[in-house]
Formats: sequence, structure tokens, C-alpha cells
Amino acid sequence: MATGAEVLRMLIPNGGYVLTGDDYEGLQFLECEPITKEQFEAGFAQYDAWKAEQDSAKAAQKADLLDRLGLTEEEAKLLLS
Amino acid sequence: MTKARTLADNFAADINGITAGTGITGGGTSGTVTVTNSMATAIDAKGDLVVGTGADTFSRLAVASTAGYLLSVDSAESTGLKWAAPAGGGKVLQVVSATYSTGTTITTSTYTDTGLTASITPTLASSKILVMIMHNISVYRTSNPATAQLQIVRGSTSIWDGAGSGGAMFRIFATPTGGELEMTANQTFIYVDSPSSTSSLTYKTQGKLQYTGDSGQVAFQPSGRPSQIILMEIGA
Repeated sequence: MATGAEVLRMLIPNGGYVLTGDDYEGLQFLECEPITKEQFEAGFAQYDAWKAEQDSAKAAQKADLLDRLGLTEEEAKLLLS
Repeated sequence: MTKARTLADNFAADINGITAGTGITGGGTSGTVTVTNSMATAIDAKGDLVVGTGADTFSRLAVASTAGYLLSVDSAESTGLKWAAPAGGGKVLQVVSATYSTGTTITTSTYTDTGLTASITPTLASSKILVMIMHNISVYRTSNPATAQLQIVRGSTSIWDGAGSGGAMFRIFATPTGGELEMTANQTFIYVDSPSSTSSLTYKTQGKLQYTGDSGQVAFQPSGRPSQIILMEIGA
């Protein structure tokens, strides 16, 4: 189950808010466009899929980079260590 | 009847009168004689003391109106004594603490309350307040440095700013492959304040991000992990 902070990473990636606790009632919009309570609460159900998509995209980028460099992940780690 | 009256009756011819001496009033030469202990009647209220002011003289010294005051010697006083605040001498005069465990996630670059706060009323204006803070802090960002900063505030005055002189409290650099970053720590902050006040003082912490964007967040008390503030009044 996602936390309120995680949901807001997805919904308001540029920040500008303060969240006290984990509920919409504890949300203050200081330097961003407000979202509705419905959007916030719906975000909990959307987060896992969004996160999986983000992770998948990052993994693909990483694999692509390693492929272009002609290195395995282990070889890249050795180079960076 | 008292034993004294019986004696007076038996030896009436031998007693011509009773004269009050030092510390006693009353007396007489016939009939029922009353003598009063003047030192006892000098006491008017709870805590009063009867103190010598010279040879065979005394005076009432009312109890101090401030709790914690001690009796001290002062030759300038008519009684030679006075009530005074205890000399601190580096002693811990009082301790106040507070714990806060509600998560507070901040995503702005403007200092914002973390929720951790405590109040203390110094006994003496010369006291120092030792502020000790144990803060659970978590920083997150999807890429680029994730940097959180913190300041300690008394009332509305910043008394220590972690962002001052470029002093970032947390800094996490993105990895070359651009993965998301999250770090949680229980960070300790210690500061000695000299408020020169005997009024109630409220201390609190405020946090902010140095850089916003990329889903940057700084969370105080993340996942309900508590932070604590301890205020100790130290006598000068």
C-alpha cells in the first residue's frame, strides 16, 4: 500500500506542498496547483502501476545504456567501483 | 486552673508584679496577668521568619513570593538576610522534552514547520538553554542531488540555520544510471541558546528542500518514526 507521500511524488512531481500525516486533510498547497481529494485518494490505487512503469522504464534505460557501452552490469559496477 | 496560678495564690504576698522583658509584651501588678510572646505575634503568614536585626531586636521576614528562592546573607538588608534566586553555577535547573511522530513531508524550498516543538520558561534570565534534537529525517528524489536543510527556531527567530554558509544537512547525489534515491537517518542537532528571558519560550524545527523538482521530498518523522526535542535550562 502506497503512502500519501509516495502518491504525491506521482501526482505533484515538482513539489510545492506540505503533507502532515497521510491524509488529504493534512495537505497544504503552498507553491503548486491544488489537487482534489478524489484525485489524491484515487492516486493510491494508481501508484503501484505507475511505480512499476517507472521502474520498468528505468530498467530499460539501464539495459540500453549497458548495451551501447558493450558492458555487462557486473563489468559496469567494476568500472565504477 | 494552671499550676502557675496555684503558685501565685500560695505566694501572693511575695509577687508584686510581672514585667515583660525582651520578646514579651504584657504584664501587670495585680489580678490575672497576660504575657504575650512578641516573636510569635510577629508572624503573620505561612512561611514568615523572625530574624534578628540587632542586639535584642528582631523583625519579620516574609517568605519569598517566588518558588525556588533560597535564603541568602546580605549585610545591606536590615535583617541581614534576603530571599534570592539560587545561583545556577552550571547546574541543570529544569528539563523539558517532547516527542512528535506524525510524518511531515515538505517539498518546498521555504522553511516549514516539521511539527516538532517544546516550550520552556527559564527560571533565571542568565540561564542558557541546551537544545538537543533527535530528528528522524528522510530525503527522496528521482534524480539529481536530494538535499534537505533544517533550522532551529525560538519563537519566530531562527537561532541556528543549517543552510547558513552553504551548510546542507543532507546531500545525496544521483547515480550515473539515474535511479531514485532515498535516505533515512536519525540526525542529532545540539545547540546552546542564551535567550536572556524568564518568559515562556517555544523552540521548534523547520525544514526545507535545497532543490525542488524531480519528485524531491524531505520527510520528518517518516512512517511515524518519532523525533524528540529536549530543552535543558543550565544555570550560568
